[in-house]
Amino acid sequence: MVAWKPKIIAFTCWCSSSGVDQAGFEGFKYPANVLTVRVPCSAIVNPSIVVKALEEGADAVLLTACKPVELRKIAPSRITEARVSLLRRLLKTVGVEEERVRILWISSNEGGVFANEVSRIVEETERLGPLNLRGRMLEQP
Amino acid sequence: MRRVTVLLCTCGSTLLEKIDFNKVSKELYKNPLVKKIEIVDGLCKANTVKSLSLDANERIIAAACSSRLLEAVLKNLSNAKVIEFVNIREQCAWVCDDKEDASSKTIRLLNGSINRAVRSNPPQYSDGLKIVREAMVIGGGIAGVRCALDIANAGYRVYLIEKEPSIGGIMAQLDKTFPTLDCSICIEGPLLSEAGRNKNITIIPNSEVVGVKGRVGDFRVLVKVNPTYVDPEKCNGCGECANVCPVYQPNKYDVDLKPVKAIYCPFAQAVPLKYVINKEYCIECGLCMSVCTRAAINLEDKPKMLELNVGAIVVAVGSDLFDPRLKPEYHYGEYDNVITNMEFERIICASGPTGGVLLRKDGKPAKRVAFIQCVGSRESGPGIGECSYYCCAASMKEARLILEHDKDAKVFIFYNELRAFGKGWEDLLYRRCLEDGIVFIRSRPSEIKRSPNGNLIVVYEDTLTGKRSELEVDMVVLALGFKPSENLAKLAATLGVSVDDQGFIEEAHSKAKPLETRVRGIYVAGTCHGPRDIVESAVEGSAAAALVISLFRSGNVKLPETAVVLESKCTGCGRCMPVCQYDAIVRDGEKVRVLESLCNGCGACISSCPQEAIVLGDWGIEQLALQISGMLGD
Ligand SMILES: Cc1cc2nc3c(=O)[nH]c(=O)nc-3n(C[C@H](O)[C@H](O)[C@H](O)COP(=O)(O)OP(=O)(O)OC[C@H]3O[C@@H](n4cnc5c(N)ncnc54)[C@H](O)[C@@H]3O)c2cc1C
Ligand code: SF4
Ligand code: SF4
Repeated sequence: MVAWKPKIIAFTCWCSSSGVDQAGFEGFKYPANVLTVRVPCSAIVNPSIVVKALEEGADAVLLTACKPVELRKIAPSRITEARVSLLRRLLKTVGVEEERVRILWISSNEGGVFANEVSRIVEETERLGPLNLRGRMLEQP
Repeated sequence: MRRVTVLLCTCGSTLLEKIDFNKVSKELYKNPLVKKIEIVDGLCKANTVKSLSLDANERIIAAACSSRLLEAVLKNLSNAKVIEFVNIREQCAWVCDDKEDASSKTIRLLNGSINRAVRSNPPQYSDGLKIVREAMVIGGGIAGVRCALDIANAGYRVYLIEKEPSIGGIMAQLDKTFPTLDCSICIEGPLLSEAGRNKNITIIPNSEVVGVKGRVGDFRVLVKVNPTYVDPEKCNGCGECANVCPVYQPNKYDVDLKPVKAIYCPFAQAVPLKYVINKEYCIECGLCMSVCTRAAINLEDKPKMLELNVGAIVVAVGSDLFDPRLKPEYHYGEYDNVITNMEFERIICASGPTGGVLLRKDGKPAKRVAFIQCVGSRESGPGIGECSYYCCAASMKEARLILEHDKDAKVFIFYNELRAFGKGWEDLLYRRCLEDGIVFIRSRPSEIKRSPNGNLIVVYEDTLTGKRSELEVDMVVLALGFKPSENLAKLAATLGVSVDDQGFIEEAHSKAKPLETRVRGIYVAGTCHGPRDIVESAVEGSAAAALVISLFRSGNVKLPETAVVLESKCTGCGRCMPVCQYDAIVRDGEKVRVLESLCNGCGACISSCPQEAIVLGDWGIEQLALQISGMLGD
């Protein structure tokens, strides 16, 4: 039997996508089960799309975004941060572990950070086991 | 069904040992959306691309290296349009140790993109939007004048909007400039008259911008021209009117220190050199009208509105100075000989109120003068938190000017950190000051007191020795920091540009786009976006001009993909408005609308709209959902 491997969807904003590409360019390795979806900005990711990914079989969802910098008022990723934290709390109420949805600050030159962080996240998700959101929802009383 | 062609690139032979292309191809052919798969050995090579003979209508998915590399190359090699890029090199081959893993990741990523592509439209390489090749510069200080001259000399018309009767700004009021101590108006005057003579520059004095519509390349700017009661077309600057005018008023140019008549010309080098009436003081006696041989005076003059159509706007309105009355401990406006450095510049100037002699209010010469630095800068109080950049150098310059006029004078500078970082500042200012015997005391004085003999007493603690002391002087000069006023906030709001925490105009990016604002086509130069000196203001004027010229030479403007509100779906709930970090969403009757000049295409609004009423190119929730199910499917 093939060992179970989690599937992880990573929404990567334009800038952090460069970081993701850089990880490969610099020879960092990370597990193959992290699937990237490139978006213009993390703030475009509707919470319902995150839920959709979990429903479709993802065991965890990751959003990589630019760190909102102090002194710069314009920072759409602050909105992402707020939405992610709300979504995590909502998911918890239906029994989904908060660790299944995360935000990571990755700037366009942080390939190594991305590789390390996703490797850790894959391990942690392996420990959580399969999500099977659809099945779990059916079992809900 | 809209089917796709997948181009799988082996990147020479680089990817062959990492990805099983036969397996990938076999798996992908199972997807009914795939029409054709081509395995090629270098999508970045002209020969390869030519041999594929791609047609412009083909819907292509390119699976190769990073799109950041490939997109630009491919655009030049072929007119075929790639709908989706999938990075199988940096994201699959190079990050997986195992060929099996890399191949299955490649298949998943591609299935996602193939699914998504069904709903995507090929990128539009539009011809762009038209550009009006005329510019507006708001503010006629050194930054604005330098900018207007450079744009005009490149052959484009410039409207120079100036609030005051003359261009010139602060530099026209200064006596000498640091570090060289050369005459300020002698440097700026020729530039002002050159701007006045230049056929491509239309100076519109006494005016302000009250409304802006449109976008980069095509702004419609509403300008209000305030009445001056003198027809500038007729006035030839003879000054007969002022000779007969019976009323005096304080002249703003001389910081209210040297009265002029109610009908006046602000200074000898003014551009335009025209007389204007200050209606606050005018008694409407009509004497001026009776002597003006050119019948230029019209006491019934009314404000006029102009609508100007320009392609680019440069904001160079400078900044106000800190109001020293907000520091009651220094008793400015209450004690006679506490003055500002701006007043000092006028007093020490040969054309100033005392003919260049540093006199106290009682007419006695000032022999002992103290400067207090950072008044309204580098503090958490009513001023700004920042260093005001120019004032250490300005005070050292002014201290040296005192000694140039009077060798026996004694000068003290109360500083916090002495900053002499510019070219020539260390040598021509700081070292000379030390040689001249100017005394530097490290302290922010706590109070100025008045002694019975009318002298001033500076109370301070020397922060190097920790000793508290008092110093008796004839005169105290307050080195004022820059402090943006309501005026700047109002203009920023009118233009749609943002301001920073200190109230200065905010750049689009402080390093990558230091002279752009969040509104494409609106640029900044000079002290309106933060403290700086003359050199830097002039440099920025030229640099902003270069940006305008490069916009004008660039053919048409291409705007990034922007969000659009579907009127039929929008209920006007307004949820999207605070979400937009660029304030690009505005009310439009019952509904809302996106201002394309401000939208940056981030898509934050789309995901906040409960009605799914906002669209942004192919970034709909539907496309993302399709992509995800494609990736996750078995
Ligand atoms: C006392 C003092 C001494 C100084 N000494 C030196 C020195 O020796 N050397 C040096 O390098 N720097 C010196 N500086 C700093 C220098 O003056 C500034 O860096 C420089 O003048 C900034 O130029 P600017 O064009 O940005 O702004 P400004 O000179 O302030 O010009 C702005 C112009 O815009 C106009 N304006 C304002 N609002 C509007 C509006 N809403 N619409 C239309 N027009 C508007 C104003 O009337 C003005 O003409 C000194 C400053 C002070 C206060
Ligand atoms: S959130 Fe949607 S419905 Fe509400 S105002 Fe914005 S576009 Fe209209
Ligand atoms: S896409 Fe971003 S910038 Fe444009 S209107 Fe929506 S939130 Fe504002």
